[in-house]
Amino acid sequence: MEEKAKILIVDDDESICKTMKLIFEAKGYDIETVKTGQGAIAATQRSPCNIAILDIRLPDIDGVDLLTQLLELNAAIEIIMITGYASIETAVKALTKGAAAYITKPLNMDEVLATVNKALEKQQLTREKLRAEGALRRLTEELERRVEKRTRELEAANQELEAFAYSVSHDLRSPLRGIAGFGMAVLEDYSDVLDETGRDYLRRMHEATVRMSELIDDMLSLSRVSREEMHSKEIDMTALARTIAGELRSQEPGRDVELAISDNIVAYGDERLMHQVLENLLGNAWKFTSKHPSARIEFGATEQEKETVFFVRDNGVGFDMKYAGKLFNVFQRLHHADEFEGTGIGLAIVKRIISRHGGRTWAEGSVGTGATFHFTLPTEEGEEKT
Amino acid sequence: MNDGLILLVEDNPDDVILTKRALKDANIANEVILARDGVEALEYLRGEGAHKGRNTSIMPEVILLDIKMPRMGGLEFLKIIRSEESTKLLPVVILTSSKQEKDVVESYSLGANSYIQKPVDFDQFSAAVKKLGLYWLVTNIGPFGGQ
Repeated sequence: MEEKAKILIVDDDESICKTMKLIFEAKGYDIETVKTGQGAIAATQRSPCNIAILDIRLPDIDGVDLLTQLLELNAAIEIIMITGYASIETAVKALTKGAAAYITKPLNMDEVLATVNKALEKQQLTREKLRAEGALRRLTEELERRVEKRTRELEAANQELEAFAYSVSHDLRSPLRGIAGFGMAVLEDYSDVLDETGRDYLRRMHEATVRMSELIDDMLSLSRVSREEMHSKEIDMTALARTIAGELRSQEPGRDVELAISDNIVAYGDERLMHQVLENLLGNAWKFTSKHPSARIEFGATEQEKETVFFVRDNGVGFDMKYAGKLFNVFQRLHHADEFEGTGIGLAIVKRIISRHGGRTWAEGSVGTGATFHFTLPTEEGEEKT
Repeated sequence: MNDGLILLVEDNPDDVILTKRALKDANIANEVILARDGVEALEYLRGEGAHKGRNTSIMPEVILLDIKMPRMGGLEFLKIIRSEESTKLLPVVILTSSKQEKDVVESYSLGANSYIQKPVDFDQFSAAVKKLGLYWLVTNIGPFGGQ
């Protein structure tokens, strides 16, 4: 401490005042002595002390009352009561009213000094505690300001992405339509001056534009998945899977596919996004079992404490585990376009949606026997949003 | 059927050629007036600028309107014609690349009669234009009692 600690001694006994003053000043403290409660109040109003040593029996005021009044003037003062054995009860009462300690007469100056030191330490600690609390408060405010700033930046970035996606959608489609349109126009209006190779080139050009259009649409779907707000709630996954299965069946009523969907599967997540996940996984299973005479698709789940593990299994063409790492990449395919159609965006979308929910995706398969796709979703208790 | 005029408001020259070709494919031989943006389209309707002196009692049977154009876009043009007596009843079909919900909603709230997205695939585009043409020029009875 840079400043000398200031001690106020309040006692109507002259000799006690003198003794204490001598001893404390020798230890380097700054001392003021008064004989009455009023004096103590006046001294504190003028310039508050660090420590006040009060005799419990003062001529003009009850010691405990004085204690209360001094603390009202300055809550930081540590107060030590001096009491005789007869008034120990009062001294204990003083402790409950905010006194730091009491010392009994006859005074043992070592005990007095030790008590004063302890009181000063307590004061120092309280000061440091308040300082730390202040610092913590300022840090929290600073953090909140930064979070607000980051959120604003994120929102701005999201809006830019939205505008970009719209631009891609609108502006890229225009010239694409030109290429497709004029290609077809040449094919139709000038087919008589073209040989078969020429007509073939034009057809291939047209196919390419159709494909490009699909790629643009898929890119936009993928970016939409990252941009849109998530509204999580409990979802009946069994019902969702059954609805999607129904749609698949109605699109290809001729196909005979065994669907084993377990009952009572629930998940905590965004319903619209999870619909996309199941649509992609069940759709894939449906597609890759199209060459199997007795196709079988299963959907089930295992509930664990913090997460639920879901799986979609099929007995279709499967894939080579050597390439499993590529499965969830954007536009990455493990099969040729003439075997199975698709752009390779479905699993990338699944992975992104599951990631946003805080889950994991992985797959197992073997060529010719089928594939199983797993994903986890945190339960409501174990929830972590990304 | 061949009497009605079509006002095509489109800035992309490729799309103009393709639209005209589609109309021809559908045997719709009506005259097509071209305006490259909202300003030229207004000049035509009002008989101003390059169309000064035209008989403004003759109005197009239908307006095929793109949204994104320079100077004055489709929606601004639509707002203006819907606020003027002589043009507020004209049938307007929005023909645009965008499928964005906000464009669809805004178009209808400004008074468009129909909204078609231009597909990339030419066959589909052609089929759409053909259906459009047949509907608005043949099936539909226009506000001016058919000319």
